[in-house]
Amino acid sequence: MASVIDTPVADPLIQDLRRRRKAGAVHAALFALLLVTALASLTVGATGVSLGGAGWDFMVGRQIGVLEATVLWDIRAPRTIMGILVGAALAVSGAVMQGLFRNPLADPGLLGVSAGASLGAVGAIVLGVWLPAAVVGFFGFALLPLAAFLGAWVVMLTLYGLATRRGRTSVGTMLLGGIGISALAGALNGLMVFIADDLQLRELTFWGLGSLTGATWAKTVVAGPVILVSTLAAMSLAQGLNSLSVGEATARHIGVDVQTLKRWAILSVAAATGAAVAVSGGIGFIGIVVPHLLRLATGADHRRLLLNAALLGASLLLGADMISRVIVAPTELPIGIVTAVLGAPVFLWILLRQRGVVDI
Amino acid sequence: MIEASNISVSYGRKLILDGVSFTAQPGELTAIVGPNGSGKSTLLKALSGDLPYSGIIRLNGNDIARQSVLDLAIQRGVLPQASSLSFPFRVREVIEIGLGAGVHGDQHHITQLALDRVGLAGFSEHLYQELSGGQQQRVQLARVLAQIWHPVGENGPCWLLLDEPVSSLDIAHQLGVMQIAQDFARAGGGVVAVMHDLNLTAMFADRMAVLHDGRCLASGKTQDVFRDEVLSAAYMCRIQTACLPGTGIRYFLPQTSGRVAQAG
Repeated sequence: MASVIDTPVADPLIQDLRRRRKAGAVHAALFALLLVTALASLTVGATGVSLGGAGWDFMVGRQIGVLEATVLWDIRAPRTIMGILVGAALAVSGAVMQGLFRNPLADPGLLGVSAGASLGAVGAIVLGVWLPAAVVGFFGFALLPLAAFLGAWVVMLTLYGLATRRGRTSVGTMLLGGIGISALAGALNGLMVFIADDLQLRELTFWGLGSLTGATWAKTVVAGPVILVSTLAAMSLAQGLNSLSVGEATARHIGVDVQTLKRWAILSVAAATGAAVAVSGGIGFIGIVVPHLLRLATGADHRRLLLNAALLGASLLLGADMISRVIVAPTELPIGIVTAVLGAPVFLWILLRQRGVVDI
Repeated sequence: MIEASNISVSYGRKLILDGVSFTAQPGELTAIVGPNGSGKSTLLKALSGDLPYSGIIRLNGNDIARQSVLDLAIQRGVLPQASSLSFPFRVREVIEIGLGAGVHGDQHHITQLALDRVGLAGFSEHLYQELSGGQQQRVQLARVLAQIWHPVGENGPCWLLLDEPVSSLDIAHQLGVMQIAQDFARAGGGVVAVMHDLNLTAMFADRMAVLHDGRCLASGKTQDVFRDEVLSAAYMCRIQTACLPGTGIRYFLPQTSGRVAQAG
């Protein structure tokens, strides 16, 4: 078979077949990476229980111990599933926000969605003690995630209302409004920290830095479908986001209902990020680093980018979670520290490489 | 046919277009000319459905305000004055973005044909950002051509709306792009182009509309409108037109003997 170099102007159909094969290979490789990290996530931990050991026991017909079953099924399995969902949601939300704002540095944090979710959660931690016992009892463990989710949505709907005039939403106004609302939410967060007691402060710190420690089947069943559906909804916007890359007016000329596209992008990202932050706290950099790395490796086409971002985001978060579990075992490091320590240098490296071409 | 009746557009309190009426026929290239700030691009944006306006604009007999963006996209493609891409897309991917409007059939084939049409056949895998300004402009033209590949569609003639399509091209490519537009019109489609270059307008336009200060100063067949007095009044400087012997094509030469009285 002739090499690519031998045939610089190949038949368009052959070129297309090669492109599809390459794209398929990248999807497959990322899926394999996710599979490996998911299996590793089930087997790595402070207790020494491994998936292989339990699996061997199962295969040779030996009874799996209560400890093994509890660690694998009740602790690591929901944690792994939540890691996959949160990692995918954060990476896809970042890529969608960047496509919507036509800016490689945009992410849900920029719009104040994360700040709103944080405020909701911090409010629940600090002010929850003053709520009637019946209310706390009714919501139970769901109080904090619900408050975070509500916070994200209040911010997003406020912002959307602020930036929409005569049926058209100004992306620039949303960006500036997001900065203002983030600052306000930050100040209110500070106020909560100021009035929190020592125990609450520790919880606030741990939650603020992000962690999958609290992942349980109950939380997974509640938050999982929200994250999954909103992330899939965001991924379905790929073609529209490609059109938006040429500019809003041109996207309309091509036949894209830009207002509907914006509305779906904003709502799906708010739901995905709100639910992700609600169950895992503030985990930074996944939303910026993952789409950047993928654009460098596989190009800017959102039809590939969003699927790849979901796969790589999930793998990276599982990897970061494993590091956070074992690096200071038997205790755990908040996962946000790991993603920031790994993500910030990568981000700066990307910035250095693209210094000449990054134009905001 | 494109019929715009009594179109007015304001930015805030400033009236940019003041009751302009405009007609373009399929099978013809209609140029909109006029000095800077006369409202040429604003008129094209109104025809494209980009701006709120008063008046009525009909595309192939239907009010554009009552048509969906997808219906409009099937009937007309718009080439803006400048296009920037926010991410590193390949040339092929930029053309494919234009195919989203509902062009059916072999997309790869149309992409290649469109690139070939603008003289960029070997560039499909190049990064758009690495091309020169002129090449980028031709890629954008290929994207628009791919969007409405057939000059006559199921719902009647298709339309190319071009905003200064040759502004960053050398003379050979200017001629090439204008020829593509003219060929589109000759094949039954319609072309409306905002033009700065009056000589290219005289060479390629079948009809022209001359704007001045938000109003239509003159419109009609190019040979009737391309006159000293019309152009001098529109551009407020002395312009002398002449005819190339044996061709019937008019051209102009600006004179340096000062400004003429403001057009009314």
